[in-house]
Amino acid sequence: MDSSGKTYGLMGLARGQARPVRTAPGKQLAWPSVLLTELLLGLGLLLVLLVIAAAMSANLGPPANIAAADNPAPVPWFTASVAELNLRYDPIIGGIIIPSLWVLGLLLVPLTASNPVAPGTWFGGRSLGFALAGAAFFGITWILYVAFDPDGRLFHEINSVLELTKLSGGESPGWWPAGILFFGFLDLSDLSALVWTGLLPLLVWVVLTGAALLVGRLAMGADRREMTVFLFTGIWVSIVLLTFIYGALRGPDLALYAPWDVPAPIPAAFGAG
Amino acid sequence: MGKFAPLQSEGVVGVNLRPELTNGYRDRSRAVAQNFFLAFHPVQVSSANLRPTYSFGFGLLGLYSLLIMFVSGLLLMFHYVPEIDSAYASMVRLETDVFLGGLIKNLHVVSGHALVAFAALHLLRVFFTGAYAGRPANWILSVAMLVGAGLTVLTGYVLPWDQSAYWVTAGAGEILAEGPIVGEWIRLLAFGSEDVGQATLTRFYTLHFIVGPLVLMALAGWHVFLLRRGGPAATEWGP
Repeated sequence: MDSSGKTYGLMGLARGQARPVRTAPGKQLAWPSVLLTELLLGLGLLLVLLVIAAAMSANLGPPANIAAADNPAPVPWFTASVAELNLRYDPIIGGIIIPSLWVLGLLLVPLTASNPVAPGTWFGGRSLGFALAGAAFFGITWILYVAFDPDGRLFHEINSVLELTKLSGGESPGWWPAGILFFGFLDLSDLSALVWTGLLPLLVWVVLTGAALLVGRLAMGADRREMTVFLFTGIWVSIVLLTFIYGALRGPDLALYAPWDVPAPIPAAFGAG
Repeated sequence: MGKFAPLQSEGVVGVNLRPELTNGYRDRSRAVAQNFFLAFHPVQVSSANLRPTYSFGFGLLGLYSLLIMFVSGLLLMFHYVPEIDSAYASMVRLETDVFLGGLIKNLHVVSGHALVAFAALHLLRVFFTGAYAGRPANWILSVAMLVGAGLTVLTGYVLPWDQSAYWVTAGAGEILAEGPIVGEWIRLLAFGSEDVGQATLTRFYTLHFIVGPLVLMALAGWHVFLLRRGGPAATEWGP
């Protein structure tokens, strides 16, 4: 200690990061501002859910009657789009293949759209245009398809009229002996139904979507990400539309009603859960 | 001990449960870093990431829905009987004899629907903000949670054993059985029999109350861990 009483001095300079002593620009401390917001959000949600729960009538129906199904059978709202697909297409295609492709497509998004324009911001401009185009393309196609072919029997009817395959023993194609199993487990007697209410409509969708993507690619110079935006948005619009069609427009025997002609009460009621 | 004593001296309760109500950057940082419930937050959070119109809080709302579903489901477990001869009666008893039983059951149902809806909205938000970029694992976890939430809620439909419960489950089984080659086998594995019966109720009860929640909680924990490690997606102000 020198005579001035000073107990410190500059000993040297070192490279390194200094510990911050206040909030960095553009940042907030988690405690308390963020945490209080989160707490309020949680309490708000609990309050809203409690109000809805209190307003709901007792949703327990009559005891299960194995002998008599409801008409139409209820489905959870989040599976109504799959139920509509299942109604229109062969169950393997509508119930299994298409939903599996949806999930697979979702999983592949980071690969097919790996280069967002500005990560962390809602996108606009060209990307928004492709999103709107996807919504319009799938939305309009579905509405026209459902309006003109309510039960997905279009290709089946074409086959019946043109007799492209002989229908023997129900749906069996003429060239395959009914009841003969392939590899011991696959009965090809259902092949005709699979083709006319499954594979062909699916092929039409693939061709139509492929054509739309090709137009986007050639005319608009769409890259892989923009085409993913087109497909992603279109598929979600399809899910919402199909959910609405099955949940609000189908009545007894799953008949389709026009929106202004739906019998009351709401027909294909969602399962209460 | 001084006014702003280190948290380590607060003992088990202080460190794990009680954030320290102090002022100043260092104390507030320490409150987050050393508290069990707060430690998954960064000390500082990007303001751009916190804009309500950026995330709408869908992910957090989904997590809250999951927690509400857990707690209300736990309360229902005290009264529910997973037997086909007693399940319906136990649900009636819950609605008529148990204090707030109907409200808790409805809250459980509503929170389940909210969970699926928020998981879907969160996925949409992440896509349309490009927040999945550089976070493929977290995106895959989001998709897995959406599917997992749907399946967990779906397995709960059969439990009341009312008319709707039975036929929703029977319909799901028919779709499952249509799966190529292994469809029937998977239906048998999930349902325990060719029809919807006691084996189905037992299995779905286990899937709904044990497997689903554990898987969802593990996925949610992993999701938050990756989010915490990767940092915020929003680094600039959007339009």
